[in-house]
Order: sequence, then C-alpha cells, then structure tokens
Amino acid sequence: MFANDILLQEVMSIASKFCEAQVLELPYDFADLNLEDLYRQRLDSKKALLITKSTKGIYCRARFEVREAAKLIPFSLPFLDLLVAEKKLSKKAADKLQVAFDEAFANALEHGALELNSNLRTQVQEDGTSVYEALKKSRMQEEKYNARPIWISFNLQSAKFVISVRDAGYGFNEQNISSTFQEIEKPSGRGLMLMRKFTDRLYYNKKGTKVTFVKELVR
Amino acid sequence: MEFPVTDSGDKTYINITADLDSEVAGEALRKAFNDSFDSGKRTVVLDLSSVQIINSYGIGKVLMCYKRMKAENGILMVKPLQGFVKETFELLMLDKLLPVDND
Repeated sequence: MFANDILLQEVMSIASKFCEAQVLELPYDFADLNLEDLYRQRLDSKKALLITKSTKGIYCRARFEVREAAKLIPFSLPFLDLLVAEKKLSKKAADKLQVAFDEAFANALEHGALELNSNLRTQVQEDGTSVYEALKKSRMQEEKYNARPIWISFNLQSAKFVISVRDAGYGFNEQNISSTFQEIEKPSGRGLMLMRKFTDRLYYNKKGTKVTFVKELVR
Repeated sequence: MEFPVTDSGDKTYINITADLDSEVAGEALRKAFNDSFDSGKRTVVLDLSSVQIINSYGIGKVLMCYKRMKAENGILMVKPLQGFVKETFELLMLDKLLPVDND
C-alpha cells in the first residue's frame, strides 16, 4: 500500500500552519459507514480539516472560506508527490491531475462563490486587465463573498485517487458550456475541457455545485 | 516577478521563466506583453521553454495577448511547443492559432 504515515505527516504539517485538524483512525473499511454522518458528528462546522485513515485508504476533507482560498492549493501536493514517489502515478499524470484540481478549485471560487460571469473576461479595462479580474479582486475583499465556504476532499485508495471540490453557489449546467467547446477563442470552457481530458472519470452532482474526478492508479 | 524581453531582428522575445498557472505569472506576462505592444512591437514570440505547466488561467492570458495582437494585424508566436504545454495546446487547438517560431 502507501506510506500513509508519511502522507499524514505531510498533510498535518501543512494544516497545522493555519487550521485545526483531526485525525480519525478507523480499523475497518470506511465504505461500510456513512461518511457524511461521521463528519457531521465529528467535524465542527468551523473546524477546517478532518482526515480519516482506515484499512481502505485515507480520506481527507477540508472546509475553507473563500478568504483563505490560497491555502487550499498546497493540500493536493503531498498526495501527488507521494503517488509519484510510490510509482502509482507518472509525473506527467500528476501534473495533469494538479491542473484538473486547480481548474475545479478556480471554478468553485470564481463562479460558485464569487458569482463571476465568464463573459466579463472579454471586457477589458484601460490598463489591459479584464473587468472579470477587477471584479474578482473586489469581491475577494467583501465579507458577503469571502466568508462563503468551499470544501475539498481527497480520497486515496490503493487503486484510485478521488478528488472532490464543492461550493455553496447556485450551481451550473455543464451542457451550457459544452456547446462552445469548438470555439478556440471563447472566453470560457477550457478549464472544463482540461478537467475532462486529464482525469479518468469526472461527474457533477445534480445541482452542479460539486465536481468529483477519479484517477486510476498504477497497480 | 518579471519576464525578460529581448529583441532579435524584427521579433521580440518574451522569456516566460515560470509556470503559467498563477496570477503572479499571468500578471508578469501581461506586463511584458503590454510594454512590448505599447512600444510598437508587432511580432512577439512567447518563449515557453521554461514552462512546465499551463492551466486555463495562463491560456486565457496568452489568448488576451493574441487578440490584442490580432486586432493590430500583428503576430503572436510561441516557441517551443513541448511536453505538457504542447499537449495542452493541441488539446485546446491553440496550436492552430499560434504559429511556432523555429528560429
């Protein structure tokens, strides 16, 4: 299996710099229990990170507010580094997975939490920056937006690595984006295409607020 | 972060020395490109040899440069296309938009 303890140390090391973290060790396969119930029972809504270690693997879930957005990215790195070191994933595949995670996170942050419309990317200000970026910076400073939550989870098992990113926004319909995939110069949709191509499986919840993608690992 | 810019003949080269996956790198590209464009350069080459990773944010920045150049009948090129960046460009059909500079 994996060097789980090393991975746990890495994740806890990142977490301890800025949030409270709990580790639960389960002696059984956690597929047998309802993780949502477990998290409701054990994870205070304000507590940021919960890691569940069982015979099946490691499940790590973190809740952040938008104002702490930059801190979310490093959480993926220990998982990816370990998978490459254990030869469960090539460096190229790990880079692709990192990009897929970045895209999912950017969507949750910019569209889910900050409610930015991609069409604003084509409107350019005098200094060359887009209205989209200016509005993003502005909304990141407003409590109405920057207190909104984003959840990420990493589920590392022997045969696969599953990543989920969820926001509390209004959701979206992927079909509305897919229709523009053929337009090279379009203002949006590239992130979705990269996510689909760089992972083995990708799916959304019904509302369109949570994306989950799966990467099969080398056996 | 700043990207070095050099002129060679009628071409201006922007040497992108970081991955194009962050606001910092995107801002550096925007500044380097705008400075060149505003000083009248109309054939600009983005040197991607040091770029290991590019995401949709970085691609968006490259496309902004492309569109500005296109509007003034200029040319935006890239060099070289290799590895992950090449694969990403081909996936998104950007290799059809941005010619490769072989000089």
